[in-house]
Amino acid sequence: MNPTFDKIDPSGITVQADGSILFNNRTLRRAVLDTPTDTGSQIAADNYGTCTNSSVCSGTNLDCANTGDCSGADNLGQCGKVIW
Amino acid sequence: MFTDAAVAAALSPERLSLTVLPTEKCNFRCTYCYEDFAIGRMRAPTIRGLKALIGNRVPHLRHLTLSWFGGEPLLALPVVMDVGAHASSLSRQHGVTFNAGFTTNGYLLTYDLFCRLLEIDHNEFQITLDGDEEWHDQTRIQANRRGTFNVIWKNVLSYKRVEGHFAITLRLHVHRDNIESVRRLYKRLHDEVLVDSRFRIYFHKISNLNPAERIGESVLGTKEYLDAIDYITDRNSTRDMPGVPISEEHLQSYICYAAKPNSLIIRADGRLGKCTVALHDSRNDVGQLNEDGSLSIIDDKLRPWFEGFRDMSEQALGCPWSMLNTGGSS
Repeated sequence: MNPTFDKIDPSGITVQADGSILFNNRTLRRAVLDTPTDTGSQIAADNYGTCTNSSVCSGTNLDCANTGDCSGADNLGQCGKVIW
Repeated sequence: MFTDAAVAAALSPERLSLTVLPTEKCNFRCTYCYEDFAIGRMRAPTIRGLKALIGNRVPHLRHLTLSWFGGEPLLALPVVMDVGAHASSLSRQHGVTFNAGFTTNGYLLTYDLFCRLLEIDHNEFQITLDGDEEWHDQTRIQANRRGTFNVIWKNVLSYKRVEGHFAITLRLHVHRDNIESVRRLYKRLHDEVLVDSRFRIYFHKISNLNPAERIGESVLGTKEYLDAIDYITDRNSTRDMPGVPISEEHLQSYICYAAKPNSLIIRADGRLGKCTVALHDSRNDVGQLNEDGSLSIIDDKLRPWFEGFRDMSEQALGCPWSMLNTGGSS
């Protein structure tokens, strides 16, 4: 894990009146913005959205229920959402 | 252990997840439900505020998620269509990835309505069943006490005729007394519905969220529950849905929406919350949505929901509400 994410001070995170998020810790903000969140290895909590994988899907590829070669047009589609 | 992607997604200022309760009324009276249905349909000033909030935020986002909850959200269809179409349209204009869906009992979700919702990019649905007709119609009943299974089943089957992408999660509630009923239902789903990959199953253990009801005596322990899932599916669940968590016990490194700074609940009366279970607890009232789309946030009440990030506690991030109740952070 990125060491910046090891310990985060919640008191340094503020939801502002316009709905935006303010980070007191600029290093944390930079790390958050620089980390890809749309990869095929997102955890189940973020297991939703349109599946656009373009490589081999595996059991750890929880973005999508597909298995096998995900590059084919017949193996793309909508991912399920499992947050409840 | 959480992935960097999961932590970044939970904190990202470029993501916004809104769980909206367009009404807190319901046409069902499930015997174990914890809601009191006291707050009615969202009123015009709150709707204006919600649309303004979305309008203000979308230009700064990469992802917007709109999750309709209730009560039964489809009882407030005009609110859903108004706000949903607004959010979908704006997201398209600004190149923002838009995901929208419903936690619904499925009773009102006819084929025609389903197609209308797909037109505004609302294509994720969670529908709960408590077993086959025998058990479902004992616990998931209408306010007039009538059963609901046959209407929901007919609706679900009709969605197979729809072309295009959607994702339906059929949440199957399991408790000590309905295992045989859920097994019969699973067999039926396996044969008639799961052949379509747009449908999936998610088991959920009935919990005692309403202590006044008799369901409390039927809650399964974890091992009993996992054994029940194996029995219900003939151990076929992992073959049918490879790589997909099939129950809350199969989620790994899960960060609840309530723990995420970029996730808010908008209640029908405009109150801001974090957790859809703790609707009657004042610790969940973290602010108010204003008519101009601005948020009056109570920082001291909001921050405790983020405490799990302090030491990346799996328990506190997986269910911050449970940690608030025990007074700990890890």
